Amino acid sequence: MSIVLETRQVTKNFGGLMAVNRVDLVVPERAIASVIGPNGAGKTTFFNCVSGFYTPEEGQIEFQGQSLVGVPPYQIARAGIARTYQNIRLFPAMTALENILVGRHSRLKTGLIGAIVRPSAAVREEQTASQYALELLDLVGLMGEANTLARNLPYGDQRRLEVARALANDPTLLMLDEPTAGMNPQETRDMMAFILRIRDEFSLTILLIEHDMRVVMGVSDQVSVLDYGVKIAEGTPAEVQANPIVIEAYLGRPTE
Amino acid sequence: MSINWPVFADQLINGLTVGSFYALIALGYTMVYGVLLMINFAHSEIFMVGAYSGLFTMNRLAEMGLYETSPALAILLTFLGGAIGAALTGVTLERLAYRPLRKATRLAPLISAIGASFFLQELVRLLPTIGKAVMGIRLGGQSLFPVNWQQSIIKLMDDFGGSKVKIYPGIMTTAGFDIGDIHVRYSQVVILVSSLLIMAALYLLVRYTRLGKAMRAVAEDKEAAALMGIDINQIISRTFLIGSMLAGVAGVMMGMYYLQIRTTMGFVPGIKAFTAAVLGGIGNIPGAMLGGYVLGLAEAIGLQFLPAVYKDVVAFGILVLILIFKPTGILGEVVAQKKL
Repeated sequence: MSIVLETRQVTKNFGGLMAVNRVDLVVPERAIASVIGPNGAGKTTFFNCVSGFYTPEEGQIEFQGQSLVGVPPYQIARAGIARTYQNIRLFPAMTALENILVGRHSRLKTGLIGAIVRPSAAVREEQTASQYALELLDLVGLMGEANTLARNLPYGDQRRLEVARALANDPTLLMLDEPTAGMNPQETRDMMAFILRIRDEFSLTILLIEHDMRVVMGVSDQVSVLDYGVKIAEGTPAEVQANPIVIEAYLGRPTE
Repeated sequence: MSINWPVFADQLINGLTVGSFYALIALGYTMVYGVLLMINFAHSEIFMVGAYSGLFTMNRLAEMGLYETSPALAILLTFLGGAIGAALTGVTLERLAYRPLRKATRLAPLISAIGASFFLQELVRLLPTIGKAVMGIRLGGQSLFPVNWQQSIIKLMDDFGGSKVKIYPGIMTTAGFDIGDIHVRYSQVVILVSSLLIMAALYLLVRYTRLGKAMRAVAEDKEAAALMGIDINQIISRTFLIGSMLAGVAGVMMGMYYLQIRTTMGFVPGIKAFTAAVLGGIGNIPGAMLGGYVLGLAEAIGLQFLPAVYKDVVAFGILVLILIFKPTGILGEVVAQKKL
């Protein structure tokens, strides 16, 4: 099985604060890999390094063998990495359908000239894209909300729309930043089932950030634990759960 | 006070014509504000360069005799020339004067814009002088440019710019038709209709095409847009391109309508168009269109009750009132949302 994402000694600091400190991570194809850790452990910073918003001071990040360090975010997205945000970043004044179509941007071709003269190829491309966008909306159960502005959707729907928008980019690697944040236990279970389903249907490799350890146990093939920017443990969910260092990081050292 | 209806109607028609100019220019301000949250104060000079480029193109086409053989094509190409001249100016300006300041404080690009504005005015004014100086450069006794080129390049530069007022050939005549006592010029109808068509096309482009959606995405959230594989710099450049082309078209129209153009011609229409953009709700495209016509008509109506010298008072009075009582403009809710 080939490796989709590999990071070596990735380090990012903010004025002396080591947000991410020498993190190694290997994500095989079609795996669901989870990165967990307490608040402020550097999980989101790590994501931002992979998606190109931060350039790590040290270390290597390779996606399907290509280095990503210093590559601008839009090119990383085009290479096949999509992500969602912990605090939803939809385009609020655009409709659900338009959000997905923007997500499909890099898979479409029509440029300035095509937008003005509108040859039949451009019109066809728009129609095919809209059709596909509607299918994605259907997949996440938002078929009836195609023309609703994103900001008017309920919270849970916004979360699912963001996932659909990420899928529209035909990603190889999907990075989900706390996809169950703010959800109740039932919604959380649904979301986890949904993640397994899209992994299989779209042949995805998934990198998942979670704050809550219990959430990821059921779906993850591998779990890495970050604490203060350092990877303190890694393994199968069962191994990690039983690891005393992990328990300490989450619950604190028992005072004797 | 009695209203002289034929005069009033005449002024309303004029208001719609001037409103078309304002609206076309205002779109450039509002589109750039949408993606960069910055007022491009050099936009009035992009408009001016458009007027000069149009006249320059017109003179070349006239030399070729195209205005006699197929006038419709010649007029179309004249507008294209004006639009291209303005677009090149706008895109270059963004690349050189604004992009390096993208991460600076918000005041920095604004000051850069004011500088660019003076630079462009002076560049067009001094173009013949610059042409002569560059053509006169000698290296080791050798002229840098072939002698037979020199004269024609100097002549072309002289034809493009200069400190003297330039005159558009009078192809827009006062010919028209009468509705009762009211005389409507064909040129006014053409300006109004073609402006509305251009704006409708722009609206459709922004609303429905891939490029338009990318522009809106960049305006709403640059980081998320980049994550969708959108090249932010490219989209910002395209935004300048389109906004500048609209200003260029307005410049050519205004040249044809008022006949005289000068390097300082951009200032007043520019600041009025800015007023129109604020009036409609800055950042809002339909708002800029609406604001342009409302301002044009308001000036026309104001002239009915006030002496002609107070025309600018009406426009800027409206700007002050809008800024005090409804800073988001007529259609400004969307912008207010975005700022949250």
